[in-house]
Amino acid sequence: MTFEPNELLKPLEKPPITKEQLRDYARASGDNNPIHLDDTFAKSAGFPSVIAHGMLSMAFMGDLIDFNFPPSQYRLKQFSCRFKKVTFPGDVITSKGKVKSIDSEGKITLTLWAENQTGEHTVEGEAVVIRA
Amino acid sequence: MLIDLSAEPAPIQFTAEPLTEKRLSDFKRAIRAGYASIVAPSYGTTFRKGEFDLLDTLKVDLKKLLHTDQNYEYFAPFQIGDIPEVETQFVTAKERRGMVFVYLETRVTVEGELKLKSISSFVLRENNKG
Repeated sequence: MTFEPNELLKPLEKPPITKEQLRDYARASGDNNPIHLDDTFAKSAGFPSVIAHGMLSMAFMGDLIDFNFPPSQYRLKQFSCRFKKVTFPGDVITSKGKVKSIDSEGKITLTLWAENQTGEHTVEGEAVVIRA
Repeated sequence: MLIDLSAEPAPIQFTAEPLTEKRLSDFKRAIRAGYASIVAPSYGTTFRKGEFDLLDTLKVDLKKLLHTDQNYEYFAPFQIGDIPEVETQFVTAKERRGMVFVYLETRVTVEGELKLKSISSFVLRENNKG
């Protein structure tokens, strides 16, 4: 499998985020901030309802990397994200990306982003993978 | 006051739960991962206890806190059975236009070998509308 600069990655759409998923994620990740779990708390912070963990979107993006660069063949070296817009239960997040550059040693730098159902970028990021 | 910087908080050190198949698969199920490696790329988020403890020491109100950036650098892959040693330290906080930007760094080692470095960035603001 070879990649070229500017090549688009295969996108990865996840099912709609649910409140149950936020509870599962809070338990699995240890991030029990009530802003993700308690509507009353989230409203007092200025949001219409609980908001999804930004790290959940980063996790979706991590799955996009593994989807396009199977861990049996590639190793992830760096992975960074900027959370641009909060996401809510019901949002459908699709992770996308493209090859930004490939250096002479085969190190592949990726530009990544996640979109909600209206096409807004909710997360933008970058990653570096190398051949395992 | 968005943050109490009267004393720089000491680093937080702790031993994380061992990496078991169940813990790793619970994490992957929560993120609905279809393709993830044995250890999902963002599994490092499970080592954030020190961040929450530091934010508490800094008297940060979670209602005013938003996670803005996350950066991972991977030095060696985690394996099932690893018992991670975690150290989180306060890096800096900068005030700008009535908001405070906070940076925390976490290093995760297993038997002395550095496996993961993480930098988490947050913004604190009075009105937290996304």
